Amino acid sequence: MGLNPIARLAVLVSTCVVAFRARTPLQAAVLCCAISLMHVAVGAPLRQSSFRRRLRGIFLFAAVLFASQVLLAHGAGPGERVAAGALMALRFLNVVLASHLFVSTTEPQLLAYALMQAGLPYRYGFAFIAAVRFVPYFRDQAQTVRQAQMARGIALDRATPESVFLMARYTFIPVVVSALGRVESLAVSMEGRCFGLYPARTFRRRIPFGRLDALAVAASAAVAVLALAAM
Amino acid sequence: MVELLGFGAHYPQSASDALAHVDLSIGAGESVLVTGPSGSGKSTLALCLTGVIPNAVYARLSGGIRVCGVQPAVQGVYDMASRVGLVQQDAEAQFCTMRVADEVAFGPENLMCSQAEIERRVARSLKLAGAEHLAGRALDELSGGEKQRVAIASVLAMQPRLLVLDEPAAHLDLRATRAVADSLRMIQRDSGLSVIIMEHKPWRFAGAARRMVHLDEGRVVYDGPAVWDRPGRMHSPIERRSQTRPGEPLLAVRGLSCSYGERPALADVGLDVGRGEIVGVMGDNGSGKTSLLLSIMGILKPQAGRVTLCGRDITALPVSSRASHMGLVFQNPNHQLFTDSVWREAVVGPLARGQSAEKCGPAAMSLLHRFGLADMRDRHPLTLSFGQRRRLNLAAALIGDPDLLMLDEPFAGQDMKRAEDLASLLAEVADAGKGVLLAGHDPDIMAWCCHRIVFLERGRVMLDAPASLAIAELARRGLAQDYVSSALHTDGA
Repeated sequence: MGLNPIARLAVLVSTCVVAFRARTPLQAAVLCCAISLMHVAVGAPLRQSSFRRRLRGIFLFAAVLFASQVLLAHGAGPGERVAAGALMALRFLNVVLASHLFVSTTEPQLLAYALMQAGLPYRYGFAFIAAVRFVPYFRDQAQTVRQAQMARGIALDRATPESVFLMARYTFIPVVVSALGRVESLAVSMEGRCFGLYPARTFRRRIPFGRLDALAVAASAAVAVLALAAM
Repeated sequence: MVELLGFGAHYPQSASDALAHVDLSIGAGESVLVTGPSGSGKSTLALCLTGVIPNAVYARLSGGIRVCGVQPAVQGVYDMASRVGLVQQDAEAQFCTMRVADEVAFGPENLMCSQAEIERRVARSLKLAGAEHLAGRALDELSGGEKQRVAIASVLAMQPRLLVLDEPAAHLDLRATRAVADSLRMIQRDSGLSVIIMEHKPWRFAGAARRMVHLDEGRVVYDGPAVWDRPGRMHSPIERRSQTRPGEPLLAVRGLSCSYGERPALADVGLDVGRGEIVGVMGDNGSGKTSLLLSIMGILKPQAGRVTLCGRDITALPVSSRASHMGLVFQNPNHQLFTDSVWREAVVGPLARGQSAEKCGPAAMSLLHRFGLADMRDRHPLTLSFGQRRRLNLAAALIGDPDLLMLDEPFAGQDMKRAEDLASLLAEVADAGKGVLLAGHDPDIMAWCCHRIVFLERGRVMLDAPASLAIAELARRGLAQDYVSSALHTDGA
């Protein structure tokens, strides 16, 4: 899919609007099928092992949503409660699958560059990129700290509420201390390359925004408006 | 290019000067190695040359400083950026984007250069740094050495006249260090830039500079041709301690294999550690050193193989049970400081394992005394110096009186004084009848402080020999040329 990241973002937003405005399980199921077909059409990595692992948790949470509606909703018959549960679970699945489609086909840096070239102040754009870059760093640091805890016998092999609380408490400070050092290096590096010298900046690569992108944004806006008005 | 006259720098929170009465003159096109122990003022000097001090990091300056004909403190960081480029220790931490070409373009983009000019600078900088082939790659796919070369290229794109590198090899293995040193030689030859390399192990950059400046406690104590003492000439803790030899077998690893998902980490690894023995595990980054320690500790679950400690099969034993018999110290001291006082840090492990404070208290106090930390028992661990934190890590790992002590890259980024201090502590631990297994990739230090060396390559044991023979054996087998040439390299540039 060669759309500009902004156009893709517009498609995602309109899809989420439609997902929330769907009133029957059938409508939500049709949308779910459409999103799944889009995954196939653009070659999104549905079979990726990391996504498959997450998918288990996603379906489990959808099942919890369904069960909670069926068991706990008041003032409705069994059929209505099943329908309400199915609708809620499908809404959740639609939002998650649409987001996965967007994330798996859009490089975060391209999205930031596209937004900056569309007028977003570049400080916010690079703050977004820095935040994305920090995610795996935090994950790796937290993993090392947890391993250090385990080596000291602090993290118990069997998780209990107390051990989870203790792990969280003992993980927070080391990770933050490491992150502060990294932030300082990043700040020196950015200033040393004149970040913030001028109110604007140029770009080595332009992220094109063509007619197809304009059409996608317009169509997404129209669908979102229709969904808000009609459903 | 650089003129310092009676120059000094003092941080407000510090009792002593970071730099004092420094006289230094560096000409255009000259390359200089600035060496000295940690805390000697190398990084402070780098930050002063770039104007980061005092404009972004405050310190009181005295004396005179001129870089490229201007005063950095007056010019400011932005103005100095086109005159002096600074490459920091951790390349990864300096990156602001996600792809190589974007990273190199980051500076010229901030300078509002045209698209054509940006492309020209990116191509030239990557070529100078020997990283042209990396242009289209994502940054997180690169090796440590490749990342450092991209960091250098991204600074070169600002077209500075002086390039300053602050411990550029601190996180690199020998192969990557050699690649970076080669890049620096190329840059100097092809561009005529002045280059200052801050490095506490100067032999790593042999040939990259003919002149060396040695800093100690903020003062210049040597300025002349590049010469140095290698660790081999230092006082070896092993020799000093009457040639301690391994006693009864302690740890036996047989056929150990494990992987991260589909990526194999260890394949059929076997090794032994005896009581009183210090065994070094060497190899490049990613060769499986850390994975081996994690597997022995039980944190990384093996797919095959057996681990025996004191004759008892512990392969199926959970980590919490193993923690009573073995200690593991990680590379970064900050990753292992969890509590708000030195005392709590020392006892947190035994308390978590169910011991009473009365039982573990005396042992903890004894260890704190032994490591010179008893007077600091109420201080927050993060207020300790690096060396004190490292000693606290060791004390915390030894609190349960484990039979085996494992350390992951304990010498990484440490100067020779700290390395010598740590090696002496490890020798004491081994003398007390414990086994020590430590991972590292610096042959100078490993050969100097270990009884035996196990060399890993792609998760497999390629060599297991006494330290004194290991280097020669590596050479005989034609393995790991960088390790051999580094350890056999003669003194001086």
